[in-house]
Amino acid sequence: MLGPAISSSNPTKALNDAQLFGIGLRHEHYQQALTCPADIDFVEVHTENFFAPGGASAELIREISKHYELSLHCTAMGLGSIDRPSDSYMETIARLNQEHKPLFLSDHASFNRAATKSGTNAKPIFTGDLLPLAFNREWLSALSDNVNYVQDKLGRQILVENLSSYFQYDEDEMMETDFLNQLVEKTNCGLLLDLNNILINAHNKQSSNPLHDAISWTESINLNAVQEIHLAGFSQDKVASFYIDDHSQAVSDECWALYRNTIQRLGNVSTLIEWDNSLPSWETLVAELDKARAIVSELESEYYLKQALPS
Amino acid sequence: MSDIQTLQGSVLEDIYRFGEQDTSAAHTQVYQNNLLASAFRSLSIAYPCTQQLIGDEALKALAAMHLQQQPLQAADWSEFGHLLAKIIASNEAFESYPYLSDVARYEALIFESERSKDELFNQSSVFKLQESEIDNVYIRFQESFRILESPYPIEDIYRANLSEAAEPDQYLQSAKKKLEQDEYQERLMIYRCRYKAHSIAVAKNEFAFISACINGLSIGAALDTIEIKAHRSGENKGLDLGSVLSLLIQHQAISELYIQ
Repeated sequence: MLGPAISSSNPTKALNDAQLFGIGLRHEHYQQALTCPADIDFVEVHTENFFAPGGASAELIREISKHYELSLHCTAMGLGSIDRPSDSYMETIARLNQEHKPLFLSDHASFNRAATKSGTNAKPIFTGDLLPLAFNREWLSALSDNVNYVQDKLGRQILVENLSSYFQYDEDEMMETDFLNQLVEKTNCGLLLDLNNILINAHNKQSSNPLHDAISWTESINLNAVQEIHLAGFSQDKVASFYIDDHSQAVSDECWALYRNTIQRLGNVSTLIEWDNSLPSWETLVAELDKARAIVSELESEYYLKQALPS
Repeated sequence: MSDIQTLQGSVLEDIYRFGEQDTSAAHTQVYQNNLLASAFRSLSIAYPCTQQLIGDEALKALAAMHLQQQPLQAADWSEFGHLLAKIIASNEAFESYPYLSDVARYEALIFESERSKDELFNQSSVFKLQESEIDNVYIRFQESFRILESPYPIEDIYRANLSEAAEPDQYLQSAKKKLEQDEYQERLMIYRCRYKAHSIAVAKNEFAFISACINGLSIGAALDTIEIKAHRSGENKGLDLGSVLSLLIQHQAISELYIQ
């Protein structure tokens, strides 16, 4: 749908961008999503789950894309790593991009591999995880090089997602938002704003007011580059007292508040609910997305009302 | 090494020191837990029968051993687990499961087969047998095709332990009978029918022929090898080429025949 300008701060984007509502589609819901297609605009799948060149998963993603617009969300490009993603990895991503022509293709501002001192050769080892980056010029340069490389290889813009992190580096030289804004300038990539990750980082930095800090974070980011928002829930590690980005809960009230605030300033932007662990029913997940729709609809009404009433 | 290389390398080394949890900072333990959980999940997907046989805790321990012996080598978790059968075979804790290593080998082949690219048999390629001597005709096997030899009734053990097994006792009885045979040897070919990998037992000479062709011998050379071996061992069971080719074609093992 085409929504109105909710905020005067970003009217062009609000008027021109279609606002789509999607759900992260996971294994447990494949069958139901296909047999009872829901009224959603797109689904996002983890790209690496469909790397097999043939067999059931290759057929499954073909079926999914017959029913829904697709977003390919990658977790293993390791864009902030010092070396490039391997040729075989890129060939697979390119094949999936070519075949399914996804609405969005995204990965994270993270690294996942490195050569180690104890390694027997220069071949990197992997963690299969999203490891945080140091926010300085050297790391920005590595990230930018890889984002440019991937965009050139795929012939399209990719979205880069802000990360939840459980530590910071002494080597940080700038704010995360400055780092990401400069990445956009250097690569013309889009941003995937994960509001849950911003909140988790605020909590893990022992912020006295995580929502306030998260709002400040979104006020510092280049909103014109934001193409998609992720909403999710988190849990707390009781032993380490960390907030963990495990996507095992409903979207928190705090995250909804941040979403409302962000949409007021950002205007129309595609929104996706991520729920990866302790999954609820498909219907519950779809209902969670309806909450996002309701917030946007409410903000639109408020906007029209303001326009209609004499000042 | 540049600063960034050094720092990234040291973060990874800290994460891979998951056996020394007392020395790891709490934030590193979050990533260590993720690494171990992902490795376990990856093995659970590829090795369901092994998991059923030894339980979750033992599989978690194997995942940790695997990571210690060979850290993750690729971005894709589906490429993790190649050492599992070897680790099981060399681990005293699994001595009471002498067949476990071969079960893991079998599951690895099933997993690979089900992920392979979809192929069709080039039917017209059978005319290569008319166009040339069989010494010049080779078999290109489908990527989903695999073979496995074991002294244990792996197929029955696998079927008996899968959660969806309809009649596990039937498979266990069958396995027992096979183990009672002198020098039992199971020879399987693993093939994919649509999306599901299956296996079927083949005779000794059929297995030898298929192995020889997989190893790059022409059809004629593979037949010669079998005849020589059979002659040496005093077995004079000839191989019916038509039957074995028909068996392979029927089970979607062959991509095409070609002349070299």
